[in-house]
Amino acid sequence: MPAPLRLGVVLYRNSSDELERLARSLRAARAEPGSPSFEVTWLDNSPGDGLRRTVADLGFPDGYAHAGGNLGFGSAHDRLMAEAFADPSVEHYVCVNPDATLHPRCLAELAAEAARHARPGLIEARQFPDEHPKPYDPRTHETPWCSGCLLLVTRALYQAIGGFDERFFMYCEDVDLSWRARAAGFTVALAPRALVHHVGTGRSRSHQMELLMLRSGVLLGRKYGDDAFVRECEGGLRARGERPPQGSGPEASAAERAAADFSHGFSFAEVRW
Amino acid sequence: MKGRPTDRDASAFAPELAARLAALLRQIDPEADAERGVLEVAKLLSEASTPPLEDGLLSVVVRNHTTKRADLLDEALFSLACSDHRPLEIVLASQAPEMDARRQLEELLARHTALAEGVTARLVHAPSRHDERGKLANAGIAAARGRYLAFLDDDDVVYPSHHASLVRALQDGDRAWAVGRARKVAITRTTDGWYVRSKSRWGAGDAFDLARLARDNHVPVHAYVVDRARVRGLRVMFAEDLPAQEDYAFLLRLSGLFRPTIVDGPPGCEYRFRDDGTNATPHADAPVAAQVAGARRWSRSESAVARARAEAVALLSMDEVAALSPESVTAPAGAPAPLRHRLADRLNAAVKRLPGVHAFLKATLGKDRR
Repeated sequence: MPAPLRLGVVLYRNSSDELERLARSLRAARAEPGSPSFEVTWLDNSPGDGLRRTVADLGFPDGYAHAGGNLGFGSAHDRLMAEAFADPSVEHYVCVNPDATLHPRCLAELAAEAARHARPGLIEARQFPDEHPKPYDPRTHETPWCSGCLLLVTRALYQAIGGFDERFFMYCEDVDLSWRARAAGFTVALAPRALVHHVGTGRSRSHQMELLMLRSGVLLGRKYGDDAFVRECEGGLRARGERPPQGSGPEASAAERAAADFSHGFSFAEVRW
Repeated sequence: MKGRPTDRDASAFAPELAARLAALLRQIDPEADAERGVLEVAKLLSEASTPPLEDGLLSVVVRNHTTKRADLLDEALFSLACSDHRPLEIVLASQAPEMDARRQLEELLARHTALAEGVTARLVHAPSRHDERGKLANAGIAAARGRYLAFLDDDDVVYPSHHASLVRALQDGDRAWAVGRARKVAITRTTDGWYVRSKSRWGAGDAFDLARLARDNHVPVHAYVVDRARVRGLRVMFAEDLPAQEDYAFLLRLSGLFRPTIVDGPPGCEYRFRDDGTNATPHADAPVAAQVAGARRWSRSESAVARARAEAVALLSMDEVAALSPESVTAPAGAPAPLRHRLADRLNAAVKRLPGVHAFLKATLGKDRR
C-alpha cells in the first residue's frame, strides 16, 4: 500500500538504546488511530555498517543503506529525499533525528498541520519538553525557521527549491532551507500538537560540535551577505585554533536576504526566553 | 545498586532529631549506648512499618483531578516515559469523576508505557468531585513499590536526566532526599493546545536553605526524589485536610527531619503556570475570580502551614538559626508541641506497640553493655 509519508533517519554511530527508543515510538505512531501510513528509510553515515543489524533487530528489516562515509546531515537527507520523491505516491518527506522519540500522535498532527496551510513548505514538530525558544505565531503557527530535528518537507517545496544546501556539513542547513522556502512563498510553520521528545536546547556542546556550528555559521553569513556574523564566527573558529573555511561571497537573492535574520546570533530570531 | 540502609545512613537524620531519639532511649535505659540504640530503633521501625521496597525502582506519583486536563496529563506522562531512569513506575493517582475516566486514563498509560522498556504503570482511581489532593498523594504513595519516590502533578513535566541524576546523588551519598533545579514556565491556552510564553530559572540555590524554605516554598513537588529506605519508619504522607499547600507542609516536615543533597546543574523540571486560573497556587496571570478563589483556598491552609513552618524551624541547626529572620521563628498561638517532641512521643508509643520490640531493644542495649 503506498505510504504518503516517507521518513528518513540519518545515522552516525548511534547507541542501540537510542535507536530502540526511536523504533518503539515509530511503532507506537504506526499503531495510533488516525496516523498516516509511512515508510522508514535509514542512511548510515557511520564508518561501518554495523547498525544494519541493529535496525533490522528493531523491526525495520528493509530500508537501511550504508552511505559509504560520513556525508553530513544535509547531504544524507538530500539523498533520502530524492529517493522518496522519486516515488509518486510520497506526498511528504520527514527528517527524523535518531535521538528523537516521537509522541504517538506526532506524525498525525504533523500531516494535519501541513493540510491546514494553502502552500505548506516546511512543518516542524514541537520539541518537547524544552522547545526551542524561537517564536511562532500561536494563531497561524508560522515561524521564522524550522529545526531539522523532526521536519516535514513537502513535495511542492522540494520541486520548487530542492533540499538542503550540501555545503553545510552539519548545523544551519535547516535555517538556510527555511529562509529559501519563505522567500519562495511557502509557509514555514510549527505544529504545536506534534510533539517530539528531544533534548537540544541548553545541551552542552562538544568542542567538535562548536567547530561544526561555527563553520556553518561562516558559510551561512557569507551566503546571505552578513559580514558581521561572518566575522563573529571566524573569530570563534580562530579562538579555537581553527582556520575558517574558504568560500565565495553573497549569492542569496534579495528575497532570501529579506527572510534572513542575523541579529540574534545562532537563534536566528528573537527568542521568547 | 545500593542495598538496605546501613549504619552510615544514620547521618542522614537531622542532628536534632537523632539527639532527641537518643535522649528518649536514655529514658528507657539510662546506661544504654544511645547512639547505637537510635540505629536499632530506626531499623526496627523501618522493617515494621515500611512495605517491601524494590531497590533501584523509582516510583513517580502523578496526581490528576480531571480528564478535562487529559492533554496536559498526556504531556506529563510523555515526559516520564522518556526519562533516563530505569526502572521507573508511574503511579497515576486520579480522582477524575467523569464518565469513562478509568478507560481514558488506562489508555493514556498504555500509550506511554509502550514507548519505553522498563517503564511500568498502575492506576489508582478514586472518583471524587471534591479536591482530594492530599488523599490522592497518599493513595499513590501507598501503591508505590519503589525505594525511590517522586511526585509529578499532571500539568508539569520533567526533563530526561532529572530523576536519573537525583537517584544517582542519593546512591552516591548518604542523604534521604535529593533536590534538583526547576524552571517556572508560563503557558497560555490556545485553540491549538498550550503556548509557552516564557521560562525562567527557579528553585533551590547552591546549598539547602531551610530558613528560606520556611519563608517561601521555592521547591516544587516534582523537583525532588525521596529515598524511602532512608526516611525509615517515618511515614511519607501528605496532610489530607489541607485545601492547598499540602505539598509545602509535607516538604517542611521532610526538611525538618532530613537535610537533602542539592544536585547542581541545569534545571531538570518545569513548574507550569497556566493563565486560565486553574493552578492551585494563586498567581497574578490568572483571571481575577480565580485569584480570589485561590486566595481563599490558600488562606484556609495557612495556619497548618504556619505550624509546619514552626516545626521545621524547631529542627534547625545552630548555623541555620543564625541565618533565620525573627518572624520565621514565631509559632502561631495554640500551636502543638514542636515536631521533634511529638515525633519522639510517637516513636516511644510505636516501639511499645510493636510485639517484642521494646524487650528486644532493652536486651540489645543490655548486651552491648556487657
